[in-house]
Amino acid sequence: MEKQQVIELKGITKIFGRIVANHDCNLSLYNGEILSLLGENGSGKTTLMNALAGIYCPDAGDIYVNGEKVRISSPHDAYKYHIGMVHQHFKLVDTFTAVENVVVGLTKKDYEEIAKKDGTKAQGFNLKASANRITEICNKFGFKLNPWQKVNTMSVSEKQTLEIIKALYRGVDILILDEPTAVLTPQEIEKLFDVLRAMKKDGKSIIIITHKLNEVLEISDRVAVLCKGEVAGDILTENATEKILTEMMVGHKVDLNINRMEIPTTGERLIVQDLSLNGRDGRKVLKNINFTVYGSEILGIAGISGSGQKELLETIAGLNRNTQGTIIFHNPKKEQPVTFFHKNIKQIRELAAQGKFHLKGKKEPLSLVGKTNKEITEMVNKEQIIFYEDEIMNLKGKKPIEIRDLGIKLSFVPEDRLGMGLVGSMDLIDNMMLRSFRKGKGGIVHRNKPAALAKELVDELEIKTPSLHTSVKKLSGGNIQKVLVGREISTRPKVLMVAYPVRGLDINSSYMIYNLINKQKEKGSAVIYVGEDLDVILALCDRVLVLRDGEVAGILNCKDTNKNEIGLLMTKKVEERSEENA
Amino acid sequence: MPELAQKQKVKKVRNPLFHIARRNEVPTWFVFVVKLSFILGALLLCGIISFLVSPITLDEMPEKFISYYIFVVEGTFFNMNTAFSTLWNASLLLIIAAAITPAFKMKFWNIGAEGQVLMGCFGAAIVMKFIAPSIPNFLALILMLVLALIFAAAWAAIPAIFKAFFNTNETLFTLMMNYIAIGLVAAFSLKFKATGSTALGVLNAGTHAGWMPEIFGSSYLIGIFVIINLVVALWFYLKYSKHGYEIAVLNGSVRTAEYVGINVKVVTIRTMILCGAVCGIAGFLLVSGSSHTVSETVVGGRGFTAVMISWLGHFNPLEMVLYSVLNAIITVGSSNAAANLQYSGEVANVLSGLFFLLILTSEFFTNFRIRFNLRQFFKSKNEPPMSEGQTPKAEGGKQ
Amino acid sequence: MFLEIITSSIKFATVFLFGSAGETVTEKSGHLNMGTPGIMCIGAMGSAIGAYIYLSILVKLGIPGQTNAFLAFFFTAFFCLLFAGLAGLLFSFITVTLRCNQNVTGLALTTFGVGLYPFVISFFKKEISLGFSSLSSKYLMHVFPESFYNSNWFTQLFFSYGILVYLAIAVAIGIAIIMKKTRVGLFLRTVGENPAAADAAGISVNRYRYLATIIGSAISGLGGMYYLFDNCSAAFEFVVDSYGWLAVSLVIFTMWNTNIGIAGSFIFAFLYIMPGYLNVPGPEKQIFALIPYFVTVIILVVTSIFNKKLGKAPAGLGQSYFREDR
Repeated sequence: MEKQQVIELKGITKIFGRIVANHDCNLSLYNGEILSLLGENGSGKTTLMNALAGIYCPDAGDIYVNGEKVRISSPHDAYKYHIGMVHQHFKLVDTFTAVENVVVGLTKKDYEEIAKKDGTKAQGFNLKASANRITEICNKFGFKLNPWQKVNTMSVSEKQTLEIIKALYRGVDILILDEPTAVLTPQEIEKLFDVLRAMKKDGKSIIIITHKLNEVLEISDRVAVLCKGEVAGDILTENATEKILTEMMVGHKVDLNINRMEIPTTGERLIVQDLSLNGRDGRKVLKNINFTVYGSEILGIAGISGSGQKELLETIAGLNRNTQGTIIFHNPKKEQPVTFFHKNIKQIRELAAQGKFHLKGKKEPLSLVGKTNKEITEMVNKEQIIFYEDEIMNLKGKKPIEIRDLGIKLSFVPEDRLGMGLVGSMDLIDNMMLRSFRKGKGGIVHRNKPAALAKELVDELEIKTPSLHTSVKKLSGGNIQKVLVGREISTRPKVLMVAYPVRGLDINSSYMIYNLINKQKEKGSAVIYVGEDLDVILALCDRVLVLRDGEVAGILNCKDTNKNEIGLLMTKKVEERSEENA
Repeated sequence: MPELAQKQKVKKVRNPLFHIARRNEVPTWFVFVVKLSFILGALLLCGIISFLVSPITLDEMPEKFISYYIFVVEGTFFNMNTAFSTLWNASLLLIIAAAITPAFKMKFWNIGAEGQVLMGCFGAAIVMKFIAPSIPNFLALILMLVLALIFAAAWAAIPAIFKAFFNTNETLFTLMMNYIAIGLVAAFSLKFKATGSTALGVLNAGTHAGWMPEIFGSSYLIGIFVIINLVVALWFYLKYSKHGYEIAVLNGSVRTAEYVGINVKVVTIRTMILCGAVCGIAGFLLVSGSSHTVSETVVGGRGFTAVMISWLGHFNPLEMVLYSVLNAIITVGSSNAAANLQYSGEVANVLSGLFFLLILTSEFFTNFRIRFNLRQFFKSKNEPPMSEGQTPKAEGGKQ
Repeated sequence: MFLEIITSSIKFATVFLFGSAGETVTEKSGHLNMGTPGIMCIGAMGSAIGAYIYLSILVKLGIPGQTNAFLAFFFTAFFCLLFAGLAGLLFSFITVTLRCNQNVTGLALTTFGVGLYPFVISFFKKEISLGFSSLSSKYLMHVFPESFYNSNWFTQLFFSYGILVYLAIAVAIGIAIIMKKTRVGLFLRTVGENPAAADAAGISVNRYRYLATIIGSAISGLGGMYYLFDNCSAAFEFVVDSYGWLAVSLVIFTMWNTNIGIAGSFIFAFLYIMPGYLNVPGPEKQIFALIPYFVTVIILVVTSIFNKKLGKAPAGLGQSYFREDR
């Protein structure tokens, strides 16, 4: 088939406030090709495509469809030119069925046009007829979807399928997919690629926005690279290698290897036994989870999204009540002196009665019976009371504040940065003291220490901010994440839990985060890392725990496994179930 | 496939005339200029409306337009008495607005200030009616304050408790509590009214028991002084106290609060009790300082007006001073103008509503920026752009 | 006596039904219009203006008193819809185009409307506005002739009302059907549930929100007209605003379903009317008059205890939508 230019973007510029998201971008798309739009997070890929899909109105530049200048000012306009986009965050109504979601927005004229294209009689608003047409599309391209299923019962991959069908139903010829593989397992990605190839055969043009090089090389015919909002160039895939693409993407050479430090572990830190959690609807979200994390170890957690990763971390952090099982924490106190930092005299007396202490330099258990509080205080201050063994505590059912009061340094970087980890409307200083604002006497908050910490982090982690008094939500994603991770690490945690810490970050920021995590491992912390990129998990972590539907599907040693094996563990059961449904 | 798109009819369409984008950083002077021009605009509009509705002809009163403003000033700051009365009105609005602010800041939509203040009035009036005549005046005032605090705080705590434990919709709950308070007060005043009259009437008119003492000839001064201090204290509480910090975290998100170990239930109930207590003080001041009685209408919608003031003041008690004073001037002054220019005094509510709508509108100009594309707009008339169907106006509004 | 309680409950329920049905339409688009009490006042004002214009025209034509059922209804209803719709337009302009806070705009609109109604009424000339009550009793309070509806209990129960009562029920059922069965209903629900999804599907979110708010306000406004010209026999001194608030809360109990709204408004009205028929002294009567509010609170609490989530509120309720927000 002769190559014909279907889309041409000329000089597209889009500015948000003071941030130039796209500057003078030129791009063309030919029929029957798969074009990858490659670039780091924050390089303006999505913004550029949103301009084509009618979400954003570009500040300058023109769009040509089939050689004619057009103005696309709304998604409806885009559909008129047969352009459809599947956004990274799906635009679906949860309470509607699949077919309702598909026909939303279709006017009488749209139905007529669809019918004209199909060569059938025009149907009005008729859900049954639409459902039939959806089934036809499914059969044509090899999808599987029940048109009458409600969206809130669908898996992520089903939702994505629905989004693609929504676009196909409207007869799009140009389909834009924004990071379609981010939430899929390796097997699901293969399926998606098959569908895309089938669509390509049908003469459709596809743009895939991505930042994963291996996928680019696998699926696309041509690659266009965006760097800092500008098109750095395009290249035929057959001429491209990972190295060339990276250089185009970042502008300079990058070492893409994450160094896993091979250091010996330092004993058990966190032991989770038979942990179960009931969700709000009474369904079990976590089922009999068992695992152990050691000091100086990074345990990766993999799984398709919604398999219980979030709930697992939140349960350990003390945010969920409705749990069964135990979470044992080994406080590394062996041969360490007791301090008043988290133990008061009463607690020290109790522990001494249980024979937990010995006097410095002596072996026999220490008895505090008959000693006055003053004497004990003096002994503690002179660091004379020593723990025999690690302190063992059960965290189950404890609230975050109780866990902190026990003296357990447990840090948690939640996936929802602004909705949970930080307060977007507060400045850096106030965010620093989120976990520690109760410190200090009286009812007044003390902002001196947090201010010093904020300044330290800004300098150390190169956080780009106009001032310490800027609201956190005004910072870029990478800087927000640095603020959060920096604060959590600043407490020198014994256990560090991070969820999707590099989501939406550019390469340099991502590597900075990996380095921070590695440093914690070096310092002896036990790290639990929840991620979606299996390549990163395999490179960074020592072991990987695969969650499937709230259960542990397996714990593998990262050195002896590969992506496919993990991918199979992630999905096996889900596939069985969806076949049952069908 | 390419033919399909070409088949579409090509219609001439203009580029959008303007384009709306969110402002990121807004300089303070700009906010100031926008607000000031909208306030002036609102005042101008009040004058125009007064000019239009007054039946007095220009022959009878050539300075008719200006006279509205003259009468407003006369009605508000003509002499010490009117000035104090205006300030009294403003400070009552201010204290109620400041009282509900902590609740609003933690996203507890308390529109029950009307009822909470009324319950404060109720508590104060009970003491005034039954106990005050037989005890020394300062003791009576203290007792009135205590009962007002208890009543109002309880009234605020009830919806808060249900919100904290069952997540009951607080907007409707507090709204209903208003009407229950109104009903209770109505029943009370009917039960204890003097025979032959329709309402409770001024209490202790002879003995002035439970009346706020006069200073410099005004019974308002003590109240105004108390309110100013309370508002500053609330501002300090929100900004510098640990409680205020917890409220600010809750304003961010409930999940964050749980994550950092804040007990959301405790904070919700505690903050609402504080709101209620301050509303109770307002009710006490209202009864002891000016109304000297209680009736269904004694709060007079101030609880609702305060919601708007709190919001327009961006939940900053100091910023609310401006709007409460302006609103008091407009309502008190317009009533005076209405009497002199011979139209209905109900105009006060109309103008107050318009004032708030206009100030609210100004928020748009400080949050968004309109960029006009005049050149493209006129140029594109002669070019053949492709988009179909939509009018430029509709498109412009959407962007 | 029992029959009388039922019929007057049905009559009174119409105020709530119009108010809540209109607010339901608005809320389905994701807009929370707290200005409903004000808009009902403006509706009442509009109908009064319509009646005033109609009677003034008759006076001008030299045929005062020669009223006609159709024109009387047309003038009152048309101006009611016009003014209430304009108030809705104002609300949507401020909240949709200018993207201001919906709660505060609503409260300001309520202040404005509650003030505007008596203010405008104060300009009416007495001699003309005296004719209002005859308009009301002649044409608006009863559709069917008295000889027919007074014949037995059945006809009294079903045929003794004004045209607006029947209209309210028809409107409520109509809204329920449109929401559930039609394309427009589906689009409107999408706008309310997830405006971003609606936008991506090519629905003009703003246009739907404007239309839903204007139409909803116009329907709510009819509640004000009904209250003034039917329930109060055109007595101006009664202001509808506090019933407006009950109408707003009714929307939640009826779970955004106007069919349930018919029953819900009847129950509300029944509770409201009841104390009037009880043989108790004034102060106690005041306490009895609190029953509807207590019931409201109890229903609120009970539903929240058992449901955790109140009914099916549109997920996007109360949020303004700006496409370029990230």
